[in-house]
Amino acid sequence: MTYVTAEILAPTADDAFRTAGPLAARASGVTKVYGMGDASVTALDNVTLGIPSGRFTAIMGPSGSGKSTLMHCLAGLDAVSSGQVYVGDVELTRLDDKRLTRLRRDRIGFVFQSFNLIPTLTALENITLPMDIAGVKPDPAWLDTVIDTVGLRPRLGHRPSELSGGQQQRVACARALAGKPDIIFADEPTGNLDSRSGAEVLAFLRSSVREMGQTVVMVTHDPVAASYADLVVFLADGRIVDQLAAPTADRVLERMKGLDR
Amino acid sequence: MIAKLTLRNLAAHKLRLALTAIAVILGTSFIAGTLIYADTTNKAFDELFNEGTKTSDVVVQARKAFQGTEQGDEAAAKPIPASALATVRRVPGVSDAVGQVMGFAAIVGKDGKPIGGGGPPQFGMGWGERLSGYHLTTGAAPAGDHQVAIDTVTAQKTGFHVGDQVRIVTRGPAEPYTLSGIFTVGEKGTTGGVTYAAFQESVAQRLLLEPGAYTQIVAKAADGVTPAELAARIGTAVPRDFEAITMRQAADDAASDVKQFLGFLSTFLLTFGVISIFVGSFIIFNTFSMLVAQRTRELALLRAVGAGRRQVTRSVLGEALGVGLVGSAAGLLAGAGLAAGLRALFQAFGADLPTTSMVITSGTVIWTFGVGLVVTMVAAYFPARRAAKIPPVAALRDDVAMPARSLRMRALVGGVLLVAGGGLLATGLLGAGIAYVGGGALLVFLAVAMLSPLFARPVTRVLGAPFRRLFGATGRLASENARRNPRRTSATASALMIGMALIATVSVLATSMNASVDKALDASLGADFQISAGGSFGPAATFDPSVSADVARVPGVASATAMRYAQVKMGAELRNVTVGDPVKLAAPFKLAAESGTLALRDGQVLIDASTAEDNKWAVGTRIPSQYADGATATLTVAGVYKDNPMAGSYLMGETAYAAHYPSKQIMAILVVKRADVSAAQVKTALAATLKPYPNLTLQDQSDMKDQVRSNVNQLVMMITALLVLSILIAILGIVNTLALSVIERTREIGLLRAIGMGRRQLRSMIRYESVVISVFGALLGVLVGVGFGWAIQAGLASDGVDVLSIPVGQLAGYLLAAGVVGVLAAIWPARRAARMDVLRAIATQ
Repeated sequence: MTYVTAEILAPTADDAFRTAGPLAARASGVTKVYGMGDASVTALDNVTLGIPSGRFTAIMGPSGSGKSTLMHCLAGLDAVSSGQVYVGDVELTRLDDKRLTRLRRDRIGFVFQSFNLIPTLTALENITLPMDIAGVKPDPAWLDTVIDTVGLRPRLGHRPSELSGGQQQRVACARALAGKPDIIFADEPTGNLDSRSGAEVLAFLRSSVREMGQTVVMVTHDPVAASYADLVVFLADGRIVDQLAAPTADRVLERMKGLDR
Repeated sequence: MIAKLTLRNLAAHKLRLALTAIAVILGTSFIAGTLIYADTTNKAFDELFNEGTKTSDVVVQARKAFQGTEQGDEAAAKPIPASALATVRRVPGVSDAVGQVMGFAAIVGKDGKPIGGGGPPQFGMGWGERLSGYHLTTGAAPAGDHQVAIDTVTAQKTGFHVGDQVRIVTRGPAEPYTLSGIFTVGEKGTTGGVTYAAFQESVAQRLLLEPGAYTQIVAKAADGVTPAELAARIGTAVPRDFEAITMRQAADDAASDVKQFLGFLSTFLLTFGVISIFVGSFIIFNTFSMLVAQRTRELALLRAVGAGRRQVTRSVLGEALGVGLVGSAAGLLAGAGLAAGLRALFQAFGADLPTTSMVITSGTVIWTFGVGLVVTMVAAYFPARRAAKIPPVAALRDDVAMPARSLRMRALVGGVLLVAGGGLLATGLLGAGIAYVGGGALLVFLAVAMLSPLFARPVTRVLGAPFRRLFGATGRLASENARRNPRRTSATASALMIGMALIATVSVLATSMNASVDKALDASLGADFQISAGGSFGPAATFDPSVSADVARVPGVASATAMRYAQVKMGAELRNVTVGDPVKLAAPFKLAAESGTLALRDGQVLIDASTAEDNKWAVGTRIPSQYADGATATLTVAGVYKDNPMAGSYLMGETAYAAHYPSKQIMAILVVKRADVSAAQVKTALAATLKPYPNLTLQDQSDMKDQVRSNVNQLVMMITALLVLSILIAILGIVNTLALSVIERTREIGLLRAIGMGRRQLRSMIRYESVVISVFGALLGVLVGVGFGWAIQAGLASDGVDVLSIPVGQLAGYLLAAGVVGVLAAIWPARRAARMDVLRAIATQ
């Protein structure tokens, strides 16, 4: 049995991340329990984790491992049962809904698996939406850079229904990037895409990290997708069970097989 | 199986269906309430009028050539001489007979103002317990010239006790009397707002009628003689001027006037019930459309596993049946409450109608359920048919959407309806009748509702522009949301459109009427003052001619013309004729002759220009006529004058009138002041002269204008208040649409929240959307309403409404109010949206 406990691994992972530079976000002893009494389910069990700044981190694990819950807690979308979550120096677990909303708006970018765009707005309006909501003007030079990087300039005036799935997801990535957030969370961003479109989106996320110094956290169950990341964190039964630097699809698959057993 | 599914769906969508049911309830409750109120009041009047049949069997009264409906009718009744009473007593089969004296007597309250008079009559009468329903409870019968007895209800209302001095107005000035006793009326002791003052018989004759005469004679049959037999026997015995009818017949005659009025009232109220339910049908239609759209996948799955089209249709219609049943049942209950409310409302307005236990007939139940069910089913039929058209394969597709249909068919059908409705409306206004106008308006509403999706996008774009400009992303999202489904936006807005259109129509008509009246009064009001009695009809509206002489003596008064109004049959129709001194008639009306003369002689009438044109009458035309007393005469047209709303359409001299109307009472005095005296000075002097007559009202020119205006405005307010019901239903519709939209857009809302939209911003977004929809509906309504108002004004131009006046400020106010309506309607859906859990919203399928 190659089962490794989180308690043993946690310091190791911390060390590894610490050497990689400052942390964009971190979780400390985070536990998340759904339901009450007999019906309760522990989705996260005392998880401690740091997200290194300027790196592409993938969170992997089988279904029900708690990887999505971990991301939701890190992104301030879900409240933890105990423990602390920080984005930069701000402790999310202490913020009320209003401040959390503002933090999401100003410092976090999101890419979801599906339904990423508002159908009534054009591609460009969708990209600038978080800034419009905040009532701030986007930096035009940066916006141009982002739009060119995702290669959507000819489609900016189109509504989502007139774009392909890959294009829609690239608009979502552009929206996440346009506000220069501290950190981008991507939840199975390629889950609904064919492999070519998926590769485009992943390449784009990776280049945003390499070339623009963006911090990206991606939840996925696809080893090929995870191989685009700099670091992979493995979750099983709500605990961090392994981590891997400079992953390849084969090595990720190998580790996953070990977890599934 | 389908039945089970239907029940499950009803249970699953409780809230949405409850909102739909409320629309049904509001409409049906109004219908039920009106029917219950009318039935109950009818029964109460039957009971009231039948009181008389318990004490006597036959009544002898003055014969009338025709049953007039207007004021002045009573003036034609001939007093019955005492000799006739002796004759009746001698008729075989009469066990007892008494003469009764009745007339006008207003009891002056402690505040110096007459009691009652707002509708129910103020009765004065000769005291007698024999063959009457009156029974003394305290004190003694009135005796001598200075005593009076009053009914218990009035005594309680005024606080008078036996021994108090009470001032009573009869034909002359108010006189003080000592209250000798208090009596109950009928078995129940309720008066329905009528006030009673009883004098000793001879005093009553002198005060109310003429010495030695009676208003009517009542007789009781001896055993074995039926009332009908007795009426026939008495009828042959009394002089030709009088007739004998059974008390039952008299009660029915008396009740028929009231019932006619009640019938009119309930038709009036039912109209608003029908409008409400019509507005409600839009909401039912919209809700079911949205429910079907949201359940596309589920319905497709049903089809995929083998359900037939008709089964799907039936399952949706089954839900509608459920909503209709529950809504109608609740509507019936609410209607009973409404009927009680209506009674209280009329009481508050001074119409104190008699009461009895509430009547709910099987007819009421059938109508309520019938209307509720039919409207719900018809409105749900179209969405149900669409549901059946969903292809089974939709169950497998990810992006399920109802197939978008072309708007061309709508444009075509809507266009045809618009033309047909406009045609009907025009036909109706040109004289075909009110039913055509109503039908035409209905078709126009349907047409506008059908056509509105065609221009919903551009119009909402314009309406949303300020929101985009002012509120950035939130405003832009809201405006886009209002535009994304033009059919839905239109159906929601159309519900509001109908109520708004009717209110706007009434407003345009009212201002046009007021403007027309102002113009007409300026042209036809020569009199500086008008003096009239407070009562609205019957003897209460008349007063002693000596007042006219008193007024004429007031310093500064140039002329005082006594006026009477009578109904005379000319040709085949009853006409309302204004009667006065022919020499003095021209000045107070600024009468202008078009042809002939204005100087009247016996056997002549003056008519106005439009009457002359309509009847093809001219100077010298001889008109076969009949007076209320049955006498026939030939009246010759002496002159034709320019239309004059103050004078009316027919003018007649006093001499001809006096020959056929025994009452010398007058109904109004028109006063022209001398040019060299100020109006205020004359008014003060007149008021002093009228002091002994608390029942008389003195009005100057602006008072007269105000009165006309306030009559119009009061009606407008009443109609508007009733139309607010349909606005209320439309608000429910907006709430329903928004709530369903919020559910439909759960994931979108989740996404917005995730990327940083605050709850407050989310609420604003939904609020702005609601405002755009409401203002769109109100705008449509105001446009349609101005169109209707203009059409109706044009149709009434020849009836005196010849000025078109559009109350721009008021209409703008309505649009503003619609914005407020939008804000209110959004409160609950917006709160629901803001409370949504972000994560769950994103994860929703």
